[in-house]
Amino acid sequence: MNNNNPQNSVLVNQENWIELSEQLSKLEQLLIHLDCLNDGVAVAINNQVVTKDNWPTQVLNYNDKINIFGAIAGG
Amino acid sequence: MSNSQATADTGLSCDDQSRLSSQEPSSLSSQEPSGLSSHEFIRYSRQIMLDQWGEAKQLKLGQAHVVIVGAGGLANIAASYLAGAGIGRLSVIDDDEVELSNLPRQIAFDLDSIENSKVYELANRLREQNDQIEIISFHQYLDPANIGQLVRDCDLVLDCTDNTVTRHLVNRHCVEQKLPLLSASVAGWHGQLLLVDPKQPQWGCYHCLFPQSSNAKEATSCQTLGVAGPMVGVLASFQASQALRYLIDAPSDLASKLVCINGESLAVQSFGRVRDSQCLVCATQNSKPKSKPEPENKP
Repeated sequence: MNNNNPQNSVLVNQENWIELSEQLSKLEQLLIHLDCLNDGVAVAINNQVVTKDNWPTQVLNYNDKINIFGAIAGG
Repeated sequence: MSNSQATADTGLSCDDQSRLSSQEPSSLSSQEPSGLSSHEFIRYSRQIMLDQWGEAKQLKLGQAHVVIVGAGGLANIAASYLAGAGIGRLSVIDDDEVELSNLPRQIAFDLDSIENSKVYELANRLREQNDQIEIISFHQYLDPANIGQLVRDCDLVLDCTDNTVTRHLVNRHCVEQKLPLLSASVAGWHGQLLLVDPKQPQWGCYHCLFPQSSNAKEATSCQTLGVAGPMVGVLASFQASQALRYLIDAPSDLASKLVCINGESLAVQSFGRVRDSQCLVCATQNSKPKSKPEPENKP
């Protein structure tokens, strides 16, 4: 994880660039890598939410902008 | 008198009168069965003059029924805007009493409200604000046994609750009963807003985004994370404005979005939504009347 913009990386939550690799090429792999694989989070790639059934197969592309956010329940 | 000054007889400026000329009621001295009274016309004139509003939509609002689940921070403000806008009937549901820690953000309450029922306090405040509408208060905890009686026969449901269990209960009920649901939530300096519209099922529901399961990390709430009072106002104001736009059929793409508001960076982000083909709530609606029971997740 770093703050640079290497060519083979994705940007997570507008803060961190994460380098893709063979072991880190799918969305679910990224969520496991970040220790946030659970049903309490939603994930958007390039401003489009990816439904959970697609997490295992969703391929990550270089320069994808990924937002991971949890449910807010307060009112 | 300049054009921007109010005229003595109507309270409207010359500019306003000119712009409203096409909207004027047929008689300013008596109430028409099918139109606004002169009092109503003046009262709501600033919103009637808006594009996509007009007298016909104001009359529609007067016939509308909105159910508000929760009477805390979001509901204090959202309900006030809806009452002020002339929604004909507002139902508010909550079993809580006012506590001292509520006062920084629940602006319908004051020190004299403490230990009193939130719905009664809020209903009284709304009646003072607009005595021309009907306010119904239910001092009850919403649960699967009573939701069918309390959330029904309405044009829109506002989710203003403070916990995940009730949010999922309301979402499931609204999907099953085909009631439009406008959900707002807030914690810390952040908030989320979404509309689940039965007329646009392709964009999914609350459960599609945040499934209720034993694998779900606990959602952030005001109790766990704290909350900035003004952020409650921001989210409630967005919620109320979108509710009004929905009820007057103004264009909106909120049903296909999740809007996330960051009070620290001032960022407002819209994320496209889509129905989860595996969703236990909305993906089964057309094919199976009864969906699979979900695990208990009591707070």
